[in-house]
Amino acid sequence: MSAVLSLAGVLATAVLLAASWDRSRVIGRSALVALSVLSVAAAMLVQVNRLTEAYPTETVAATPVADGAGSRMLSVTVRGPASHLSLPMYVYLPAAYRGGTGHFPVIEALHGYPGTPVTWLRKLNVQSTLDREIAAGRMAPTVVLFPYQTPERLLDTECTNLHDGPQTETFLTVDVPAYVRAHYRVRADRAGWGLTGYSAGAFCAINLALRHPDRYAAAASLSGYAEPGIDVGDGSQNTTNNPGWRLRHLPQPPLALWLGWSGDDRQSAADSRRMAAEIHRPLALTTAVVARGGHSSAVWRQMEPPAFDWLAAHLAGPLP
Amino acid sequence: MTLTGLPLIALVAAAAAAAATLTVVLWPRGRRLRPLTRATGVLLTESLLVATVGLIVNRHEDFYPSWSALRGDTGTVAVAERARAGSLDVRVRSGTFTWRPPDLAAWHLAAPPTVTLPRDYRDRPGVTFPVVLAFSGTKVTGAQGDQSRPGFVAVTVSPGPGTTAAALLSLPGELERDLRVAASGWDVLGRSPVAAGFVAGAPAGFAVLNQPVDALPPALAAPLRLPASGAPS
Repeated sequence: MSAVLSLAGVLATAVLLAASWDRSRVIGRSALVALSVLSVAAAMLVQVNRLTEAYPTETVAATPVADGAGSRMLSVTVRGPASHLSLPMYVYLPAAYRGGTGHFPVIEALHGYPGTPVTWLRKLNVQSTLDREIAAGRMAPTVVLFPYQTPERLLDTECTNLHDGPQTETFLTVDVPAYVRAHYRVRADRAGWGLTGYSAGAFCAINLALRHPDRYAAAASLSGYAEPGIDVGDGSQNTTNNPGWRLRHLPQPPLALWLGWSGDDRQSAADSRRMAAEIHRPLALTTAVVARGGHSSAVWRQMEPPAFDWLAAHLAGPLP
Repeated sequence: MTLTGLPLIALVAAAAAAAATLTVVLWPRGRRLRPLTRATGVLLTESLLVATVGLIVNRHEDFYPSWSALRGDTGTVAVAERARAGSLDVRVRSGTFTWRPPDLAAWHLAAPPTVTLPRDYRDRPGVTFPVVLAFSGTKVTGAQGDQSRPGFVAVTVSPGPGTTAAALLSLPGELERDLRVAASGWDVLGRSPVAAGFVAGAPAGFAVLNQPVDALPPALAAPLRLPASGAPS
């Protein structure tokens, strides 16, 4: 809708400029030109927003709860006592969650930057992907969380605790797990918790898993990076918040990592290969390469089912 | 012409400049059609400028490195390998049996291993099951599974004086040939050095020592997989 409106705006300002030019003076003409430039800039921003879903324009319809069968995608707000952050989160509950008493494994799925979890829900069709993998038996019924990693939409946190800034790492690794354990029937042990993400979210998944191997057993990276590419404020972007550095200089934890990249996504491919080369036991590595497709949703749609299947095989199963 | 190449950027930028020039030159010309030619010129110039900016950003960030990437073509499909039936699948029943694989002699066990299958093993032919490898002296219960606990394949081995962890490392391959079992996440129960040596000698992530059996991975159908790095695509 906003895309159509913004393009109509570009068209309207161009017609107005053409039609009113001869009747206008300097001030009027300047205003007409300024209006045209603004409309073009606005249309560009709208398109970029459509690509990244940084400010989702349509709210994702919560799946009907009344039909009594099938999976659900809930929208909740997590108020974090440890991080003092309060952020929305989507929660996928598998069909098997209904009516049962079982406790399910959990995957935290992180989004890219700029972006929001809405990309998972809309562009990456995550709910139907999870439904299909679970129905085919390639994945056990799992609760999947889609938290925000951006307390401010245009602040790139890379899921770290920024020095003098938002404590996103604490939110994602302490507050979100505590909230989910308190509100849903999920496994409480480390063996039942995994991480995944695309782009910056993939960096987050690797970095958080390496930093908290006591809380997560496996992580899957879809086009991730070896470095955060931001200034954390305490220099840790070059050391403890840098998976490349951690893998080289710290003892590697007993953890399973899945690194996926696209062959023509230069930075992510180079970083992922670099990390793969550094990984040794007890860290277990699986790689997955898509031939081409760049740094795009098409690549992540291709990686999504294999990454979730792999996570299911490397996490503890549901407890009936 | 490549999507991220300089020739395309130069071409589109030159077209933008040409469109801008033409729009300015033609601005005072024409009569009734003047609003139309002017508006067309403005829109054309704006579109080409936006395209130039887009191409430069894309070249820098590598979002779509090629025309095929732009079309959403990844050149790769994830495939599910068919779950390979175990060579004993036709004969085995649920319950416990003595397992005598070809490599048995090399393991120098005090007695052949016993294998207990989950009760749903035969009913789920496309599924691989998690494994508990129990060394003598440990007690493993619940392998058959019930309503409240999923089952697993339990293999109980009794090492003899000549049993080495290195020799036992051929056991997973033997078991994977004979039965549908998980290729990772085995739970090894035992306090003997052979048990610890087996876990230490197996590939990373293959086995965990003395983990509670309720932390086993689930029984799963063959996963969708992408080619590994370095694999021929």
